[in-house]
Amino acid sequence: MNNPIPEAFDISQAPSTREEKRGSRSSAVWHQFKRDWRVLMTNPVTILGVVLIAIFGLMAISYPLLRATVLGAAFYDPITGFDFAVLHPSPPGPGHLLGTDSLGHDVLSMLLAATQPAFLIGLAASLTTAVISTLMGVTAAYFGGFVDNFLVHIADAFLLLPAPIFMVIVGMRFQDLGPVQLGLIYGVIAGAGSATIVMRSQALLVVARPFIEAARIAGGSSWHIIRVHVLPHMLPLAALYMMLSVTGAVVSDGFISFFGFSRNYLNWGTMIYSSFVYSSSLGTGTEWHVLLPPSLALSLFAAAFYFVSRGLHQLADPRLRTR
Amino acid sequence: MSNNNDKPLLRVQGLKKYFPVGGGFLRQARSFIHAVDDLEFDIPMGGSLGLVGESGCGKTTTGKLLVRLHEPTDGQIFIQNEQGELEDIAHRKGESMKTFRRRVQMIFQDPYESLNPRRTIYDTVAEPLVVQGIGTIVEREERVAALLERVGLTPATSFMFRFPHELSGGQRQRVAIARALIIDPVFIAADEPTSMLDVSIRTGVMNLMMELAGEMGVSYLYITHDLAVARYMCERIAVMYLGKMVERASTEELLANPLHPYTRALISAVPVPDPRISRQAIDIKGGVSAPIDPPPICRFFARCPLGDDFCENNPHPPMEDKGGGHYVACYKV
Repeated sequence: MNNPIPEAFDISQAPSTREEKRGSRSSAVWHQFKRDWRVLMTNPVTILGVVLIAIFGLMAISYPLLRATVLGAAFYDPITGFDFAVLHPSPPGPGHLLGTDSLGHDVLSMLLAATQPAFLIGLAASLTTAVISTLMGVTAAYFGGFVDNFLVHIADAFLLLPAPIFMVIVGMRFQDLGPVQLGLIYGVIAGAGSATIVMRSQALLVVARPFIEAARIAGGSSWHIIRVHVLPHMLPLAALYMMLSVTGAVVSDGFISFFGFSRNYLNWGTMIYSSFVYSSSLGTGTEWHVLLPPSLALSLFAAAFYFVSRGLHQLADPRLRTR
Repeated sequence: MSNNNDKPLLRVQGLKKYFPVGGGFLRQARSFIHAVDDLEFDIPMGGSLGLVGESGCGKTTTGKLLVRLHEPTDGQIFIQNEQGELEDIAHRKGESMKTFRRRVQMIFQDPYESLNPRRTIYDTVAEPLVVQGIGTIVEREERVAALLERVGLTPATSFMFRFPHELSGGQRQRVAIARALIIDPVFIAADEPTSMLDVSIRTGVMNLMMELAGEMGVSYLYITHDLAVARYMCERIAVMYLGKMVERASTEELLANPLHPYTRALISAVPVPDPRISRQAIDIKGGVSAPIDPPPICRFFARCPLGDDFCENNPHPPMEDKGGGHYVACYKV
């Protein structure tokens, strides 16, 4: 034994505090992330959700690439494409992998084209939900009193508003809304309603803990305390509500389109709608090869984010973890 | 500060805190919990006061009032400023409040809850310096490291960037002590800092607190329900009952010669580690009641073995000096 002191206990080897701090800060975040990721990956449902989201992500990315290469505009454009070589609607075949609908649109092309708007709606809705619910919930819980009463009454009002029906009315009235705007509208309704109520109750728990008082005694302003001590404890729950909001928003969007209020972008709801409408007017019966892909896509897309939310829920509430 | 030894560091006059019961949105509360009612005491420079009483008597509320976590309903809290003058901080707000925060700190009861679990030990201890804008990052780190070593967390480098859950209860409370001392306060309110700790490490933490307070010239209010702890830690002891202070004296005087019937009952309830000594038990009746809109007579009347018609028909007795700074609030002693 040349070296009687194990390296880990030899403090003369310790790096200077500044270096260690910087290294350790980022590695602390990284370790936290790895720990959380490990918990997430113990849940098979969550793994399924992550895989599904990855597949949809690939679909969204591959669409412009495929359009530029193999899916030429003349035959495959989801709006204007028409293939004169086949009789529409055509069943799945070598030229059109998922067939065409009665107006000659390529089903695969439409399916892929609708993926990106779905992500846009989901992203807009989830971010809006997270920001609004965190702001309202934390403000209400931290300041209490009149502010709390006021915000809770607003949240109650939004809670009673049925989001899908409201979205149908909005979609009917404003037919030129893009995916981002629709996502924002949904995010406001979902965020200011149920999500705010839950975020507020979580924030109430955090605000009552003595380390908040300790920060106040240190001289910390309300903004400092909320930013440094309250918000980090809200993140897992905010992430959970973001996922639920994606599901809600995408389903609502499909819902509007299914009622025939189509807008200037393609989505799966429109495809489902058209599989019924044109086929019945042309007397060809329900086009199953047009109906099934978007139905599956919509369900799986919504389910994927819900599956991930199940895992995040376990992360936010450790009591739900299976030992 | 040579010319202000005669002045107390902290002086409390007529301090009151009433919590409304039941009120709400656009609705005035009808009744109030008299959590702290008309307190009066001084703490000298470098001195210590033990605040003793049963659960719910207003000890913690008093501590939180002194560090201004609560806004007093009424009364004054004077504290010496840096020029040695007494300043009333009872209703301070804003920027001058932040300066006051440098002078007064608090140590909490539960070391598991008083440290933010998502912040490193360095973040927690340095927080007062950061929010007060004291020093550069390098200076803060040196100061935190030095203080961590001083509170017994050595080597500091191995503790600074750990998280609270990696520390034991005693280590956490040492971190809490370091956080309270990092900005050189003149006064600390310690709210039962050892009651959540394992018995075997209590004395260590108590000794550390006393040593550091002596070294750094910090006065402290030590809140506890344990007379033995108060005796160990404090020069003087004050006894509270239902929001009122009933007796205040130097530690030895109070324990040797308790005058108020409540203090006597408290002392008689402390177990004596010698089976041959038999002590006369003082009986008090009933249990402690909630101090919601209490009648204006002596708070202790309902349980007092000495109470009579005079007590029933007169207001709560004032604190009276029975000689040598031994104050008692009772008509019958």
